[in-house]
Amino acid sequence: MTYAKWGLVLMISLLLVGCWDQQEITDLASIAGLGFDVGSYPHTVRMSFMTSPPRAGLGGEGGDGSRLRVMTVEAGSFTEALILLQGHIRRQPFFLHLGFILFGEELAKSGLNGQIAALQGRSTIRGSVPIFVAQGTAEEILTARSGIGHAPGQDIADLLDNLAEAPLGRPTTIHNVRNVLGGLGSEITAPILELTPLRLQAGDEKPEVGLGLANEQLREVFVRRLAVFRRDRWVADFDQYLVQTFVLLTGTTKMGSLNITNPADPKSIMGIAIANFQARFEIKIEGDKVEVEILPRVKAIVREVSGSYILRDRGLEPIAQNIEQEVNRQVIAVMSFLQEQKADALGIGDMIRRQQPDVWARLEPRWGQLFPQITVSVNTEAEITSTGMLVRFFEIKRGE
Amino acid sequence: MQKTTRKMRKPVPVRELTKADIEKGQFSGNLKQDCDALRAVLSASADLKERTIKMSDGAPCAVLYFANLTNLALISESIIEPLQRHGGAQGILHIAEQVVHVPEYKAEGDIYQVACALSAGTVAVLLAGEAEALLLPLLELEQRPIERAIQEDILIGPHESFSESLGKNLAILRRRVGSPDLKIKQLMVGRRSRTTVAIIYLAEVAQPILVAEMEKRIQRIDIDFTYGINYLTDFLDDEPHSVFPTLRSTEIPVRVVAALMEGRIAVMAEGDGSALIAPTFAPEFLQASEDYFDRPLSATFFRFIRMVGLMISVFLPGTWLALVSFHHGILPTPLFNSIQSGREGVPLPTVVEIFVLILAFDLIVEASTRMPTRIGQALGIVGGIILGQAAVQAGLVSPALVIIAALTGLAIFTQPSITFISVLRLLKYPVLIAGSLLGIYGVVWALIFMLITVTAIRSFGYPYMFPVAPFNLEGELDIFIGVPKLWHAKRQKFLSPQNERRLDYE
Amino acid sequence: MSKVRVGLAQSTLALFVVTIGTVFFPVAGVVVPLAGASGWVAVLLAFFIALPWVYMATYVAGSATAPNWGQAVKAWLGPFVGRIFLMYFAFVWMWLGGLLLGQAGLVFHEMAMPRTPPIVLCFALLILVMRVGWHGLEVFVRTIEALAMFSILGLVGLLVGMLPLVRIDQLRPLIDAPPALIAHAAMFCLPWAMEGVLFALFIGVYARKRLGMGGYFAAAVGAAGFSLAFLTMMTVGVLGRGVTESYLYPTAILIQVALPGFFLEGVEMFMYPLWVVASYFKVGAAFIMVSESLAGVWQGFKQPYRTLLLGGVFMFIATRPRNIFELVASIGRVDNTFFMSFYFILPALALWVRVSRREE
Repeated sequence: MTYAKWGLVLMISLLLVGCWDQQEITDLASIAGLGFDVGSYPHTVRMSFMTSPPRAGLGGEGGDGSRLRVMTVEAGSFTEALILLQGHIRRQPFFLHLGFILFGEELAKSGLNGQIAALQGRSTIRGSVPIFVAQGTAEEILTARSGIGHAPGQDIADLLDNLAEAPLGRPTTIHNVRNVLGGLGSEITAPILELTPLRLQAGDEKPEVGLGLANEQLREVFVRRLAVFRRDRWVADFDQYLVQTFVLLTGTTKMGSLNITNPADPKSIMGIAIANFQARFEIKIEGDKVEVEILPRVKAIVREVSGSYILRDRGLEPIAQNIEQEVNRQVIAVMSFLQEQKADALGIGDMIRRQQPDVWARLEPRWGQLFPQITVSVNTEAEITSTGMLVRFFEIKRGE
Repeated sequence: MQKTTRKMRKPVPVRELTKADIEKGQFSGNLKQDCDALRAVLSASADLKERTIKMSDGAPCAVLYFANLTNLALISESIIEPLQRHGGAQGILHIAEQVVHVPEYKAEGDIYQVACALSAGTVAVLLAGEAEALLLPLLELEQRPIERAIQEDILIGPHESFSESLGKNLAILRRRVGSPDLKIKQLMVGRRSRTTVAIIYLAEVAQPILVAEMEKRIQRIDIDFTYGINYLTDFLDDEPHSVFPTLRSTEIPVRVVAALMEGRIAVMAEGDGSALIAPTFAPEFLQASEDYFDRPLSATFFRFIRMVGLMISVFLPGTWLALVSFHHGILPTPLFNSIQSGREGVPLPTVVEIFVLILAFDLIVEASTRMPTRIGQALGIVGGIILGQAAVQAGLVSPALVIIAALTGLAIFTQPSITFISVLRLLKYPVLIAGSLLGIYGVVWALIFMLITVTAIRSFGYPYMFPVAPFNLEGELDIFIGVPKLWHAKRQKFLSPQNERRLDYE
Repeated sequence: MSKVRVGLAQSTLALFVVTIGTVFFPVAGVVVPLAGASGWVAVLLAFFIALPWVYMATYVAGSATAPNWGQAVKAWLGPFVGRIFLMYFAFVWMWLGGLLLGQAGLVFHEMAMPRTPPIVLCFALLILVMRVGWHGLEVFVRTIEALAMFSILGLVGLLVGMLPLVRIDQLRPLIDAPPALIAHAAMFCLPWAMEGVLFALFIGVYARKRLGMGGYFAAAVGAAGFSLAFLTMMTVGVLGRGVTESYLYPTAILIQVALPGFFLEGVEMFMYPLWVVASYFKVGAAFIMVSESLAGVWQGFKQPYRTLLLGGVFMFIATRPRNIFELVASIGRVDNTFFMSFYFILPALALWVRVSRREE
């Protein structure tokens, strides 16, 4: 009996032999970044794949960035592009290590629906991959060479690592876009990547040989703006002065910085760090008239003072008042910008839906027209929690 | 005790210790004739010595013994000398009771039995006119002294181990358990080797039905020869074909005593320095006896390490294979890149590579086990470092895999039980095969398959995975945590229902 | 053959894991399209509704003195009606078990091994299930115990690992659908609760009877309901409604996005085993229930043939659906017709047992 049992097990295991899914790790080409642009023919999309071919031989220092390659394929669909790419690189493109997805400006303005659907349909692409949009084309950004010893695309990888530090809030993902496309949630924003020529000063290191042609313009990638999407279309963008306030208002980050005028010396400024920013929205609806009162609470730290401010004479109250004025001004600016663009990126509509579903059902069809007419009032409450370690700098005496 | 549901082999009727092939007969009383008859049974025994004596009243008598099996000085001092000074007229019992100076005696009329007794180190005295021989045991063998345990090295606590003499071993146990409750039952196994087997248990603690079951199983054994108790495992085991041992073999007396105290029983045999403990549960193989001498917290940590070692030794190669050749998306991106770079240019597929490396490691282990200690160490260094390093530099294997193979090989030796180590060395291969076929699905498949196998096993009617399945909180704590002894106030209820409490502490 | 007995704690644990079974994969995908973000209320509601049935099942099972399921049923209902009940019970579970076996293969195939034919994965699981079916309920429950620690830890780890990713704003308001929609969604969860109730009826026969068995079993089913509701809530919180409702098995997607780039790129590593283990629990339970029922219908149906034949039947059913949509539709059909029918059969059975007890 036992031999029969073992025989059965053996037979079964022989039957199972197949290793269908087995795939050597060296047969894969890990795609680190993906860019989409409008193609040169109608109904085509230009897709750029950033991959790092492993180096042969010893050592485990692959992926050091110096070997990142960008390949561009123009095809009607994502699937077709993959087949073309596979024929070119002779390895299986592998997306589970995808770091980011980048959309070109033109494509983003004409709608991302098709691309998002293609990405979502693949089980090997995680829904949590962050999305960026490019000022210009995605390909341009991916292939940009910058810095010292940096490879194409490496800038974005570095940027991603430090995204938490940049005042951009939580990155937008494929899933966010999908949720918005489903008619739920508010408009979304995505960071805009821009290129700027790298200015090398005298005494800087020369770029390594072999990184590009001698006369190639080195550029670096930076982010200071956010694209506002309505559904899947890029409809407006924030300038860098509004970005921080916007992100603070969405609540995805709580820290930032602020410049205010010195109450004692209007020609000089004070640098304030925002340690905690919390905004409460109070919405009053009467008929079609919607009033929004935004109540930010700011905890601030005085970091630097140019000019003189004598603390023991004036106290902290004037500083707090200036902070409140400045925050009010910025919030109003954000709101009027959003109303101008008819983009409810802060999700006022969503708040109404959650608080008063029946009222929202009435307002929803006309929300596009109602939103620009909302009355907005801001009332900030600022509290200075710390003036830092140095107290004496408040009494700088000019030698007059 | 739960009744065993497993089908047992049909009991073989115990064969009478055979006389069939040997001439049958009783002593006649004629000294010459009787000596000849005994010599005929023990024919061609060069070491059989016979000494004839004239007793003081002139009665002839013969003393027979095997020269190297008995103490010659004692024979001449306690048997021959008194016999020469006394008369033989009052019969053999008078001689036994009044003349010879030997602690034990027995009168035996059967020639075959006397021959057997001679082989066991007895001196036989034949008296003219008596149809019975006097058997006086004077066994003396050169024996290994009590030594440090070799197989299971103990860090803290008593170091002594069993030796090859059953009597000495039983004496060690007696010394450690002072209570008269320590019971020892002796049985004879082996048609030709005639090995004594002892069942050891604590009368008030162990369940009588367990002892009876063990006795039944031993009596069923009909074999002509046994090396020792480990040789009999197949006959005593519930699942002789399974890879999992359902009896624990140990050479450390403390461990046996601890088992006896829990209501288990031990079996030992003459000529074997180890004891089998029954019933044994799989999770217990993770316990080392130092755990009970160590501080609870550090014991917990070591148990955790052993648990991790167990998981690594069985599942690491299969899981690693599943990771690097099936589910590449799970690895962190930098690790993915570094593995990819490391594998670039390696000619073998990962499966073959990992098989070859693990097999090589097992080869090294096996080779160094068979080698004398010093050469073994050198071999380990040669095999481990040079082979691995050279293979990587030659581009035959990827560097990450060498680490995996070495880790797997090392982790096995965290296990305290030598019996279990051999099981673990085997088990990683099926997991590896399953992993190579179906990735992580295969690894989990193998895990569940093993679990079904293990949980279906019973050790003497008790579930083999005991404190884990069926779950028992106290038992389970003792597997994973070094529980302070004060918490161990009770024995396992089903091992010893009649005497549960083992500790009272105010 | 000695009487198989399972401890009360053991059977409660078994009931809990079998009730959750593979449901934790599709649950959010079923309720969220119907009830939106308040799908979790629907799940909770369904399992709450099922609680009286748990008590009924425990009452009926508690009255059994027979050594096994088949004899117990025949003792309740008499040999003829009892056989009909057993055949219906076996038929229902055979169908569901076969489809779940197919699901185990198809989903894993879609999720992680696109090139491996699903039939191979089904067959691998079938071997395990047949092996445990051969050994019987006792060994099955013990494997559950041994695996439960690992699988429940996995589930809890998953939920805890997910907590930082939850976006509260996606969850608000907690109840956003009208009661009618929630009730409608709860209807689709009722069969899952009934699967648990029927397993309670089955394992109650074997459990060592103790006072308060009903409480234990209700706690197990209730805890399963709570876990599923919590998981639904988490799914919506992490993925958002739009994504959740666009997948058949949203939990797979949920786990794909958990802990991105923390120390592993993903935690699928922990989810894949969870899927295999959960499938094993559910299909194994179905297999053993069918096997025991058939043994009750026909005494002469001895063990090796029973397991082999049943294995064949399960495999046949498992290979019927050609794709995941057909499979989901078939499971839905079985659930909504046959399992819902037990909401009427079980009270009748309980009533009958009560009446016949009075007569005695």
